[in-house]
Amino acid sequence: MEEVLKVEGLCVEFKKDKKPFLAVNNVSFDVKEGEIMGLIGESGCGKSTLSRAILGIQKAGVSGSVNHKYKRPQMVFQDPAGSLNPSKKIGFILEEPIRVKGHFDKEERQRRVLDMMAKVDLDPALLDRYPHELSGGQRQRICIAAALMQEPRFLIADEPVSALDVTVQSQILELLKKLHQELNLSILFITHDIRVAYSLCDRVMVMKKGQIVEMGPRDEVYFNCKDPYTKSLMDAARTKYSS
Amino acid sequence: MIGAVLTGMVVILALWGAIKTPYDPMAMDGAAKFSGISLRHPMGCDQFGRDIFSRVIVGVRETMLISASVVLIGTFFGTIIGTITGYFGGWLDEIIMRLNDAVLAFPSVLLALVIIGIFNSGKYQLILALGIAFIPSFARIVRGEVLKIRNLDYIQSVKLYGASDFRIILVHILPNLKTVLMSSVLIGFNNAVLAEAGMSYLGMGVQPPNPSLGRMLSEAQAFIFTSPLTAIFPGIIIVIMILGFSLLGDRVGKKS
Ligand SMILES: Nc1ncnc2c1ncn2[C@@H]1O[C@H](COP(=O)(O)OP(=O)(O)OP(=O)(O)O)[C@@H](O)[C@H]1O
Ligand SMILES: [Mg+2]
Repeated sequence: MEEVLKVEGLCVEFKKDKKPFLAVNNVSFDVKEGEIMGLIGESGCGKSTLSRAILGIQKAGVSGSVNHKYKRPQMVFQDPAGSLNPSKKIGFILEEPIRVKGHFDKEERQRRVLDMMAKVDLDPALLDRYPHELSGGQRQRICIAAALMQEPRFLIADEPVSALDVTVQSQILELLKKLHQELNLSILFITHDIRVAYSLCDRVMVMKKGQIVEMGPRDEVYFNCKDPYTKSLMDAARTKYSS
Repeated sequence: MIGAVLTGMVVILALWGAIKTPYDPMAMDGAAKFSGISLRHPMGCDQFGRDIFSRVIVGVRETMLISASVVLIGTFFGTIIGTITGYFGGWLDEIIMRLNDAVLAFPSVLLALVIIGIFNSGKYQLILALGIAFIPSFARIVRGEVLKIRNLDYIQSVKLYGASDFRIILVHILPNLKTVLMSSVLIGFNNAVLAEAGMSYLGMGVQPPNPSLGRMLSEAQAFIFTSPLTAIFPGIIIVIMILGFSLLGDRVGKKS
């Protein structure tokens, strides 16, 4: 299988005011080995719900098929404030993924944690701090580091830079690009920012109200999309970009 | 601040009572019956000529020990029940929480009365009865907090690592219940002090001649007009205790 992820006919149904409503509606796509696939869509269109269903965190109301090539895909969550345990030190948080797996002794685990800190360009002194003692950018680097501790081959990054300011955003994007190459990582990258998607992704798809309305190589979608909704988004992004 | 001072005073009294009292709190002295405030008896004497000050400090110790044990039982079992039902949800949660609500609908003193009715009265029976009566409110608070925490992203990510439910609960959820538990323990302690006083007042807790604050108030009832000292001091101490813990509880509640 050349795909690390294959999704077919995926639906997620929630109850809203007692009426059923499809947050994810018949979504099919794949992510190829070594690629960064972008998922673009405005707030509330179902991006996070889709990623939760793909990882099996969301089970109720899910139908369709999801196939992973590799075990233990990981995720960088949208909200950096809620994705680190507030009562544990960073060192503990980074060690947890491999402690849970139970393959390595204490010494090896700590060596791997230090290696990972170097990979995400963080000072090892931070290992002794609590999450609330870090900046937003540092916290997001820790989230990425924690997600990579088990050496996954596929990662979902759910708006990993939306909560950060622009300079920090580009640093984190550079880091993701670097890790993608170094670790042979395939990524499903979720964003509502078309420029971010353009700078990072090989292919992109556009989601609207739970459905995928456009999918293709990045340049094709950016310059020649067929779907009118996507076209309006791209036009808006281009004018914002040039002004 | 005031809360800490008041609580500190009461704790010192209780510790004092644990080490040494000026008089044997049970020793009767016929000549000193109902004697007023004096250097020898700073709070006077009761109907048997027992030194009220000695009885108060021992009573404070008893009341605090009983209340602390009650809160300990309530917190321990409440946390276990609340964590399991909140984390796993489903039919187990439904059944246990319906039961919990049914029990919560009764005032805890009433419930304790029923339990005492089954087990007989006495200090340890009182601890057991109030402890059981206190479990549901702790279970409810803990369950609510666990429901919030279990959906947070850091729990989801630990799940993705493949951690067991046991590990998630023990390592990742329980330590984050600290703040919620702190303030409810303080409030619970207050309720326990009142409940102990109430139950002993009704004759269902600490048995004579042993003192507890509630017990002393109960005995003072008959002499409240002729010799008010017997009631005033235990009453004041109860008020100070409750006030101190309420203030402390508010502080902790506000901080989190
Ligand atoms: N547990 C839930 N129960 C009911 N409805 C939900 C639930 N989770 C999400 N929804 C609804 O599903 C829709 C999609 O939500 P989702 O969080 O997937 O959006 P999103 O694309 O990730 O948005 P954002 O960019 O703001 O993160 C929203 O309308 C939301 O209100
Ligand atoms: Mg989202």
